[in-house]
Amino acid sequence: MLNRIVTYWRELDRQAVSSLFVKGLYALLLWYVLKSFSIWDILYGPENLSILMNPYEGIDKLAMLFNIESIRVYYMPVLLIFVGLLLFGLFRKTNVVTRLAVWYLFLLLHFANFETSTGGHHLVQQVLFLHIFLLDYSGEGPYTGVKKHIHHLAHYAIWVQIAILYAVSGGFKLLGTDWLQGEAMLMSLSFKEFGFLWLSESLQQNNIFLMSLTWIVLGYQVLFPVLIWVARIRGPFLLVGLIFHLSVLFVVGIVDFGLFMVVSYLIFLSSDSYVFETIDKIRARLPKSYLRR
Amino acid sequence: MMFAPDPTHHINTFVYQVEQDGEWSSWRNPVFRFQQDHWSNRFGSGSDMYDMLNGVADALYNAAQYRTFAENPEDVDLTSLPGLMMAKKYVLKFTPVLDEGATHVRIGVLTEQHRIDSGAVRVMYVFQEFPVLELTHAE
Repeated sequence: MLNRIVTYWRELDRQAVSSLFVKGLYALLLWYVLKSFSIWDILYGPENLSILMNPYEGIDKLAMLFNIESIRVYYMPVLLIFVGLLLFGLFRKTNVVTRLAVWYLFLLLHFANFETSTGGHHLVQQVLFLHIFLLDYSGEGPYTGVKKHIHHLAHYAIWVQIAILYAVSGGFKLLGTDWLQGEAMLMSLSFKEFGFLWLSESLQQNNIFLMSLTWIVLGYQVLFPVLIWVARIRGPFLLVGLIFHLSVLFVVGIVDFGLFMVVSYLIFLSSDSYVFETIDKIRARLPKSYLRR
Repeated sequence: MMFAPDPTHHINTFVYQVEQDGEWSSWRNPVFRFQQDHWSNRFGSGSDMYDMLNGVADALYNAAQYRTFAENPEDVDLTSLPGLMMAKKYVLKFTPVLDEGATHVRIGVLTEQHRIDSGAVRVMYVFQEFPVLELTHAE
């Protein structure tokens, strides 16, 4: 049994999946910062409308630098470097230094204001830390084996991180009342802020459809940490999550969170997914290899 | 945390009115146009502005709660609390009220409270307003 596990681990190749995951994440982060270009000075700069919190000392202070008014005036160079690193990562190979920089700059920007923050932002923050260790183990070299082990550990740590997110969220929902009573979906959608005006006005009464949706979401989150490891049902199971997060995106309107979750699912792709075949076909038609695996 | 343990049961909205030539304007809702932006384009920056102003509204609600439950509510200087400071900053910097000749502003927070009773949504509104603040170019 142990031998089988060791052999499986050694023969495992998840480099292409990691690479696609990082590029997907960088593309999303690029959209995320650029969409708010016109209000950068409010979100990250001195025109802040969020309360700055600066009681931190030591190493914690390094993460909270944008909560210091005199530092917020330098928001523009920080954002431009961040955008530059994301573009570099999209079209060229990243390395430990660029990935470390991307993680740290996202940390600064995320903590620059809490009002736009969601669970997805916190997930991305953790995932970006782990992505520092997604080392490139292609090619031959004296440390290729070590790099491969570090890569695989980081890769599956991202799986565990996403599973923790669902476990905590599902677990806390079990401590409440609305989800167990099947009222959470109605309660959420009854606010025009979490949907549309016509939707909140038309949904005044709970029904079996809304109750079923509530329990499906709860079930999905509670079961995720277990079922994600079962290869045979992973695909259809993730499809349920995908539909849920796209609904959060387009109906509930929590766009950043929905997109962060959808993109994070790229890490669960199988190594022989048709997605890679499609990318290879596209690459073959391009004059230069922009989509490196 | 992802609508856990329960989704929110209330949403706060920041509103204000200004005094111009001795007359008070009607209450203005600075959030609604960003809400409309958000409805029409989920992928734009309207959602971010909407979130920012919702944060101001939540801070105003917290300020009102703080005053209500303070040992000596009369001693609480609301103008020093972050909610009111941020709301005033928004009115001064992001609206044209000064150019229009407004001299004073009154800030309020409207809370829309939902509960489910026998499977149906019941809605209640609570409105809380804050003391009048002077508007000057120097701020």
